Amino acid sequence: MKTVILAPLDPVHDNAVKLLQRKLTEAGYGAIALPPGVTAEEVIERALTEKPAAILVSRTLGYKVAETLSGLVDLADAAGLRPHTRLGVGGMAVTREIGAELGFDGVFNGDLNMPAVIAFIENRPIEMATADTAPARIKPDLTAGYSYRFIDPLIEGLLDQITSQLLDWVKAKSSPGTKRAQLREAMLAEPETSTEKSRLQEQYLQQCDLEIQSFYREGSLPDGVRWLDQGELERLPGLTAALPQSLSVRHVGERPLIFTQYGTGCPVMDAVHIKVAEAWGADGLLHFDPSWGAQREGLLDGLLSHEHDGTILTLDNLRLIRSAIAPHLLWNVRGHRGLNTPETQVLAQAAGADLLKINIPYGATGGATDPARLAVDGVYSLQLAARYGLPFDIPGNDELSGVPPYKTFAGLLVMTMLGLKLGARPIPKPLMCYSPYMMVEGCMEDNFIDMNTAKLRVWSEIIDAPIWPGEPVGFMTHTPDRVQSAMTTAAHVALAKNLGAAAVTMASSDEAYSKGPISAQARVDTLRAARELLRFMGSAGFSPTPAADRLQVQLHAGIRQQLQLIAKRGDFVAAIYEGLLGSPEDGLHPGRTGRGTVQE
Amino acid sequence: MISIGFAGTAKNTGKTTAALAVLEQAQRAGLRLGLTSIGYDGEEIDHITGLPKPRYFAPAGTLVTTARDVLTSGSAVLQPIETLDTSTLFGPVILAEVAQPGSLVLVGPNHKAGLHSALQRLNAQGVDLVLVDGALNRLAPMAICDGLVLSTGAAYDQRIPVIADHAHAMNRLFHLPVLAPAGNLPEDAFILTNSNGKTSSIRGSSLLTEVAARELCQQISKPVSGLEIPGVSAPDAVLHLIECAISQLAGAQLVFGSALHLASSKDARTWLKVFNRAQSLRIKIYVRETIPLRCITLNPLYPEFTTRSGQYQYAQVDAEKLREAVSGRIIDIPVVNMLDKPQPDLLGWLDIPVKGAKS
Amino acid sequence: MGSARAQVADAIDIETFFICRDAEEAQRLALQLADELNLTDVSIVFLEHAGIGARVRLRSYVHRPGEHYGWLENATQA
Repeated sequence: MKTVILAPLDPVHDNAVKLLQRKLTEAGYGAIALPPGVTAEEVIERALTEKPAAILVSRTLGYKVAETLSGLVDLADAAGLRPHTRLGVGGMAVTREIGAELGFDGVFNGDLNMPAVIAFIENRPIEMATADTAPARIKPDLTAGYSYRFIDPLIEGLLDQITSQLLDWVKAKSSPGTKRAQLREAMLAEPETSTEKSRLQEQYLQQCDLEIQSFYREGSLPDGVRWLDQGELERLPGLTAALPQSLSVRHVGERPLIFTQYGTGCPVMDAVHIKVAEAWGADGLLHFDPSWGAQREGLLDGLLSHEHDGTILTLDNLRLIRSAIAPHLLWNVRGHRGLNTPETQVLAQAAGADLLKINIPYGATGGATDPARLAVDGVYSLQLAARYGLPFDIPGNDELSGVPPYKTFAGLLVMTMLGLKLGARPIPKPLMCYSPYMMVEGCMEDNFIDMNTAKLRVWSEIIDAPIWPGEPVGFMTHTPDRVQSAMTTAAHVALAKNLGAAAVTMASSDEAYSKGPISAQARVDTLRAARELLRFMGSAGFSPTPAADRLQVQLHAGIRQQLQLIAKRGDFVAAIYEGLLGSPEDGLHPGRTGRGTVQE
Repeated sequence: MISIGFAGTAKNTGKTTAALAVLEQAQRAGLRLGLTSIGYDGEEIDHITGLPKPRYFAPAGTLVTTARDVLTSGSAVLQPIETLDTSTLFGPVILAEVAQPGSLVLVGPNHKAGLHSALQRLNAQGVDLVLVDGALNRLAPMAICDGLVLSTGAAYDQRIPVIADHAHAMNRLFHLPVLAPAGNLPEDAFILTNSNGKTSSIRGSSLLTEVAARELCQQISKPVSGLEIPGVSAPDAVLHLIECAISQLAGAQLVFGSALHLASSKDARTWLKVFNRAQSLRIKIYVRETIPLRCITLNPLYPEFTTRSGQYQYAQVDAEKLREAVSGRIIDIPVVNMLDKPQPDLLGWLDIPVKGAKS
Repeated sequence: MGSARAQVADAIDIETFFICRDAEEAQRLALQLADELNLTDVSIVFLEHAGIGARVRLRSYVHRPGEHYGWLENATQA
């Protein structure tokens, strides 16, 4: 058994030494921990007796402390220990350069890395993981392990009725959006310079708004949009190379997966933000596009930067962004509203997205798209999702307008059943938020735990499906204050974990700041905060009050009732128009973008 | 080949400045040069203080032993010759030749055995003079060098009398009389010699703590004519032994393995107390081996930390007073401020032959 | 109008993120930023490097305890 001497040269603190002693003993070493304030002479004398494989010293570095450490090294050399005993030092501010100057064989800083310590003791190279040598991280499947079996037969029956009617209604209907998606797929299959591609593009432009046509024919760019230049593109890969490893937000367990959203407007800045999120532990990313893009028929093309929120959906932009995303991260491209929903799914799949986003009722109200149009486009998009084999998430952000959760969840369930019928894999996204409805009804006066618990737990009474609270969690609880914002996000993430969420989307600490784009440091802040709170909670949990159960019962009943109303209406699209999935009283109106564009 | 170690009493005492001065004179004399360091030298900015550091600029043809990861850290173009069997925090040590002159970073073997191997390889390459730059107050690897330059100054202590006392004590250590062994003595045991010249050994070889001193004292039951401590020793432990075994050790020879074994432990001034007490008891102190201390260099500058700025800046003590104080205590070897002009004949001081230098 | 700096209770913190290779480069950049912004008496409160860069909080003390406080000199007597 090899011996290791641990020497805290610090006169007071030896906690690092005690921890290391325990870990080394567990690993089979004879770890001798000397008391705090031990002198170099005492360390060497002990080492001459024990003949250790290594002496590990801990001390916070300061100016004159360096001489103390180098004195130990010198004494070890003079005593003839060095050929057989390795000398390692750990502590604040000890860098590799300082370690070399002091004469040590190993330097340890940051969190305790036992594999590195053991490799050092055994005189094995401490293998610095590089992107090539780090074990390949497997991209998780959020839907794995879920049967999608309905547990509430009444709800299942109602959903079956509703979705059958909808699928029947959309049969033989098309829109400029579905046509453009078909043309886009065909164009992607053609060589770049082929005449067939040019012909298809001309047909594509026939389905586009004049502004989009003008871009392709005359090269005119919308306001605030510019081309990325070659220099930017050449310098970017150096910054966004694969990282060998990243921090983890989770402390115990493999769930929830942590998603963050990006969409600065510039794909270069997005790439940097993506690398920041990746380094600080994100498992997945969501692409946010500008809302004006969703209101035009047709998508732009090429590498475009945009000086307002949302990064323009073009295949080249998506591919550039994809190149910055590590292979093991999940990537979701938003396309749940607007006039380009089907084509967005085509581009997302072509660029390598892992998840799509589709929600007809939300996109047709809060997303301002005409319900009939989005019903046609949405069903087509679900068919694409099924064909591509990509799961799709269903955001529930209509609650932010004031819609009660039972209505939002009714919509999420309709989309869930619709997706399942078409062969796709849905992931409902109940929103953990302090919505206007909650404020008015006083559902969250005492705490934020009970209502959110009810909202997540009710799903397990209805269907065995992955639940992914977003986007982001804690919506409307954030303020511009960095600490408060990070804390509330972290608390919601911890609660989501406790409630078994498969994934969670978290904001930056700039979430409530509206006067400028999100900063990189704001992203780091919430990821660190979430990491800290998940560490704090570990395997422990939250204790909702009895109100949570009552709210859950009410919610479940409300969902049933709303689905009964929708089923009774017998026309899903009409149900949206008439407010059954969110009414003017709730703060929602049916969208108008694309009205009258559905074709039989 | 001659190797000169540049050691310091602390960080920022001017080791590299002294080495650079010798480098310049050696280069003018046409000597084939080798450079290495037992620490980390040649960087632009000090890693602790953030202050600028003197940089190595090596002429073409200079051989260096430095770590793989810093081969390209300077502007000099280095041509690797072989990888040595010594490792550092910056990878294995590489023997290389300066193909194009420029600045260098030196991270060489950090311990005696590694330095020994590096010097052998440099010697095999026909180097005339190797400069071994030190690190902080580290001395032990220099035991295998042919000579030593010791740098001290205000970075050790800002009180001039303290600098002078300490330098004097260090000088005493390196000028202890050398007693060649009569035969082959074990290096892993204390050796007692009785009045008849008969030797016996006691387990242990280093004397570093009072506990160890008491244990050794208990083993010395009768008066001895000699006690050999081959390993490292700490002065307070030795003092404790002397006080504990006064009647046994009075008039005896106390022989240490090496002057460097004494210099590596505690403040050299504490050894003066040992020598004075030994003298009062007619105990004669010897070392088996030493390394010639050729000169002492002085640096009046020191890094001063100011709370207001949160940074270090250079301050200085009175350079003339410093020189006078140290020269007054050390008369057997030269004492110099390397920045004084004109520069002395350093090669002469270091006993480095310049005639017949290899081209 | 008096100096805003004088009304800083004690310190100015700069929260930022540097694109940089490692923690040492981040430290150097932080101190250089302080220079560029004419900040004095600076220290790095927090620095964490991961991947593409470092999260940094840089602090510049304006009034340390025991010094003369600008905001007290500007205060009106009761």
